[in-house]
Amino acid sequence: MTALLEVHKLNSGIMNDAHPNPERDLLEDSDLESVLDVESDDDSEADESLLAELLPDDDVLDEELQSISDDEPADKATTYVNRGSFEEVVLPLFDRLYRHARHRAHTVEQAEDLLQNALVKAHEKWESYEQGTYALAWVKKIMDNIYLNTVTRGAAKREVTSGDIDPDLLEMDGASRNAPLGRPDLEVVEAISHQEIVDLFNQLSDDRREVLERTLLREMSYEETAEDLDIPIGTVMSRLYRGRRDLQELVLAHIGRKGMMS
Amino acid sequence: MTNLPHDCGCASARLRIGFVVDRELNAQECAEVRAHCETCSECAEELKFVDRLSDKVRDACGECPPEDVKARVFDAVAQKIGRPLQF
Repeated sequence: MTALLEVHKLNSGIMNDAHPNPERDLLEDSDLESVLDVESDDDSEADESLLAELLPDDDVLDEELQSISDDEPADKATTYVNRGSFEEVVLPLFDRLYRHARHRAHTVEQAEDLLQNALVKAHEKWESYEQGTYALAWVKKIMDNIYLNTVTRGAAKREVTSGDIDPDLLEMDGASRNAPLGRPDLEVVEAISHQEIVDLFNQLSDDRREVLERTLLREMSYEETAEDLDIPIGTVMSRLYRGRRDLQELVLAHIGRKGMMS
Repeated sequence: MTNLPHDCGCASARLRIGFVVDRELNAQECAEVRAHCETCSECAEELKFVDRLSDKVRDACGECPPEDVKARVFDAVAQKIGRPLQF
């Protein structure tokens, strides 16, 4: 835990460092393992008070979680709005939460710790979870709060609007941009095997596949994807839009070849 | 920056459905698209399709947590909350 507290002192200016070094914001693997072990029994009282400052501030976290409740009305069209117990709502999200943790952490071991602590925290806060809130965003927020408090404070997610979309996509004629592709029944989509989906996904162009990989498969935000690929967020959005359309076309062609269309 | 028209017709909704499914678009625009889908069955079906296809890609192509990791996390969480998890 000592290494972590030293990192916190550096980040919070406790060590009177007038010239912060960005490299100091990056924790070593051992530091992250330490902070994630929130149940450690070895901390002194002084360490405990610093730790309390370092770990998520519940008031701030509660406000952020409330803002998800306010901003994310129940969406009848999505799977992850449920009414039920902690286990019924949160555990089905495990794979997606794991992928989010893998993106955040450096190693599988760190992801495991991060996920474990996020689930424990989510359980602690379950009474404040408002039924109908998008549960995945709710638990991700808790996880991000645990993680970001170990690195730096105030790393708020950038708000995305349609004004961010690349002008070339916006300026296309709406009718041609959104020309109907046809849409198979959901039962037909369900019948496509995982291997077939993998094969279709791999037929996407590299630039479109790489944004879908990051956002869908690695649970990265658009902002993180833009940073990772060093492209504007609007380019991420237009590639996502086109990548999804391409995938839909590939799916339609596939089920047509296989005679699956109902 | 190019702004979309304020009214959310089919063209505007279709453009934004994927961003709504990704939960990336701001709350106001998500609400606009959802409100449109309440009154337009075609766009509502498109929203469901894009959502389902996204899940299908995640299930097929995403990294799955190793079973031993899953078991260890569940055990550790159960221990910390002081009761077995109810599956």
